[in-house]
Amino acid sequence: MNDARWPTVGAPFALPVGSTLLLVVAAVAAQSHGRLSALAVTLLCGLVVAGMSAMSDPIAALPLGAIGWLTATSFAQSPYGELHPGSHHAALAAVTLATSAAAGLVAGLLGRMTTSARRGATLINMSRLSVLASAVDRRRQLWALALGAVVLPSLTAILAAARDSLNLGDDLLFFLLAVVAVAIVGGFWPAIVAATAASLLVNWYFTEPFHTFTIAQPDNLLALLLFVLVAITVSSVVHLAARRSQQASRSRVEAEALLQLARSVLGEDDTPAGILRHLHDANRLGLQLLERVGQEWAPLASVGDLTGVPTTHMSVRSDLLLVVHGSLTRHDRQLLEAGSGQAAAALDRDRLRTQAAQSEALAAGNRMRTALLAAVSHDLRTPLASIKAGISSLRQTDVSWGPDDEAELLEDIEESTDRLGALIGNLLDMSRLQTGAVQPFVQGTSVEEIAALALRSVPGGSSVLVDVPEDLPLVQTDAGLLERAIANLVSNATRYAAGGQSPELVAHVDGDGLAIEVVDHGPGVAPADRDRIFEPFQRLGDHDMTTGVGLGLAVARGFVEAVGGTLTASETPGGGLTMTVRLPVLPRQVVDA
Amino acid sequence: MTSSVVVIDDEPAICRALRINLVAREFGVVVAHDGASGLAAVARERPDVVILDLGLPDMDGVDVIHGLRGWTSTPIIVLSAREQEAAKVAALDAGADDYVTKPFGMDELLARVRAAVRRSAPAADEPTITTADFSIDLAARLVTSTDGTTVRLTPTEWAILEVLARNRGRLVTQRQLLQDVWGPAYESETNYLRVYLAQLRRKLEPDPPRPRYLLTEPGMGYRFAYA
Repeated sequence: MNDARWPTVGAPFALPVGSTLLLVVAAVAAQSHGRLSALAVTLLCGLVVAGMSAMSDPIAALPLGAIGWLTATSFAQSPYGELHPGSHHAALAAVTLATSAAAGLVAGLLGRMTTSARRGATLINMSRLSVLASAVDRRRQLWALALGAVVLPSLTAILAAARDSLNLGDDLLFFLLAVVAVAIVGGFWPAIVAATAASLLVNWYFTEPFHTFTIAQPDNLLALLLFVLVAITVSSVVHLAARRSQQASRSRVEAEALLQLARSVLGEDDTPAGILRHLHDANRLGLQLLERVGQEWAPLASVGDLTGVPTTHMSVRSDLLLVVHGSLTRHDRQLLEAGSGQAAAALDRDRLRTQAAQSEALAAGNRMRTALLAAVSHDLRTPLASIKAGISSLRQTDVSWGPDDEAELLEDIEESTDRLGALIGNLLDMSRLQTGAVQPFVQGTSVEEIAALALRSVPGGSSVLVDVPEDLPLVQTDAGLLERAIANLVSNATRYAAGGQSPELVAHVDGDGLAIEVVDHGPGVAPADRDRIFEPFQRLGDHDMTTGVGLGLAVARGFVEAVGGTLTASETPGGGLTMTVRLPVLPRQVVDA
Repeated sequence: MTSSVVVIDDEPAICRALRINLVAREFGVVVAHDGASGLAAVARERPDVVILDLGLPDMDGVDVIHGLRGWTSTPIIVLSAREQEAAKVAALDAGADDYVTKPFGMDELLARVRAAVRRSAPAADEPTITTADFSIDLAARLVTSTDGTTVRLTPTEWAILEVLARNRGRLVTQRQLLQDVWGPAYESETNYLRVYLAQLRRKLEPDPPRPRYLLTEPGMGYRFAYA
């Protein structure tokens, strides 16, 4: 029974249809010549009025009752077509019709309430009423009423003066013209008021006997009834035309809003907030989208004025709720239903995009780690492979090695062992730095001694030109860490100086501290890359043998910073790279003591 | 006639050790330190075997294999620190004949080189292959164990054994074995191979769980071990 709906027609339909039905009742009664009792005709009229009142807007019950009364009073009994408002029968008809109209009104209200309660759509009926009332705006309605108030009395005065030269038909046409004018200006309801007033005026001033509501001539009553029917019908047509044009403009706004929604889905604004913004642009309502998180409702997006009590909660999905602030029409509701579905879809798409970006980042991280692992495992395996190749060669029994071959193989084994040892040392140093396990033992240290130790530990260190004056102040540092840092810098410098000018190791006083420079004349590093070279694991994959995985400079900077110094790279005048270590100097008085 | 080898590797110590060993066994040796000069050396020297590192400074070793396979079928032995199966399969699919991971034993590598040279310069095929535990008569299609009894093999088992024996010492990829025995449509049915190799080992190996002759090269294929 969910789909059962109370039949509802607007007053502009109900009034002409009701009036026509009543005219039919009147005609049948007049033709029956007494075979239909007065009570039967009155009840028939009451039935029509009750039925139409129940089906139509509540406000139509009043005019329907009035027309019903007019019909019942005039056609219930012979003489038919005469109106005697003061008669006993007129009073009876008034009571019957008023009861019928009231009963129809109440039945209609109850029926609508019961069938629509389940749908939560009381708002729809309210909105229908508001649409009816506002098909023509209130200012125009007031203007129309004023027009009627001026024109109808004037017209009555003029026509009354000319009563001798005009008959009732002419009078009615003039009044009809006035009512149509009011309908054009003010729409349905002012026209109904004008038609009622006009019919009363005609009855009072222009039907015999004059100056009573009694109508003695059946022709006159028929003419008056037809006048009322035509006036109502014209008003209804004007009203419907106005309403249609208003619906058309609403539809245009809706279509525009839906188009905007579609665009935002296709375009960049494909987020719940973007969709809500477009809905707000179309209806100026305050909107908030809530998402269920556990037991709570958390706001996802909101737009417009959210103060005050929400008027409607629309369930978008089991986990999404749209809260509306502000009065809502049926059209708004339809648009919101479409739009909130879009918002839910946009939310899902938004989440998917975020997930895709996250997995892309994870995948990139994985590729990075894989390449890093390849680089480290290559650098570990290669010297190991040389060592094993050399040893397994020497252990071969099918060949007797000459002294030269044997020396060469042994030299390779030793060199590879040193390389492996240095790499493992750097890896361990790096992990000490990264886990924060470096605890420098800082004391006054002579740079001269450190330089000598560092040069001795580096292959090719003997080729480095050294300029370290003997009278330099002691530096505040950890001797072991500084030695490893300098050794890594020198090792890096000799790698790029191969075949060219020898690298230099220079130390001098620099402001409050002391600077140690390792200078090479190799190809150098572009200024933009000078910070990057201190990052660990610069090389990925196993393609470049010359540089190693790039731990040396990272370890050097880590150790220098651990002892409170700085390590920077700059260009050597004439080309190449200069690495500068700056260290604090031990205060002189401590040395003196 | 001396055989020649081109070694393409950017690690000087490995190159030196390979050169000393190969020269001592009377191979002609040419060493290249990157992919481009390696390709040029192979084109110039027309070696019997190429030993190739995959991590070269100028190009990837797999691209070197593609470059070589465009015009020559010279055996290529990959010598690489890459130990993942994907790397091995990529190199073998590109056309490498064998794959040795670093660090490696020199005797093992020399055995692979010898096996490769045998293929590149096929001598008159020995009709009979004799091991310590059985002998295979390729002409008579007969397997005899050392105590004189005949080992009964199904036609499929014989076909697999024959392929491995004719390529003795060399790696036979799963794909090659499947194609030779079952046909091109069966190249991906590697589970067939596991079943039949297990049967062959039960019939031929003195200790099947620890095979001496019919060796599995994980991720790559099978090898008939024969010094």
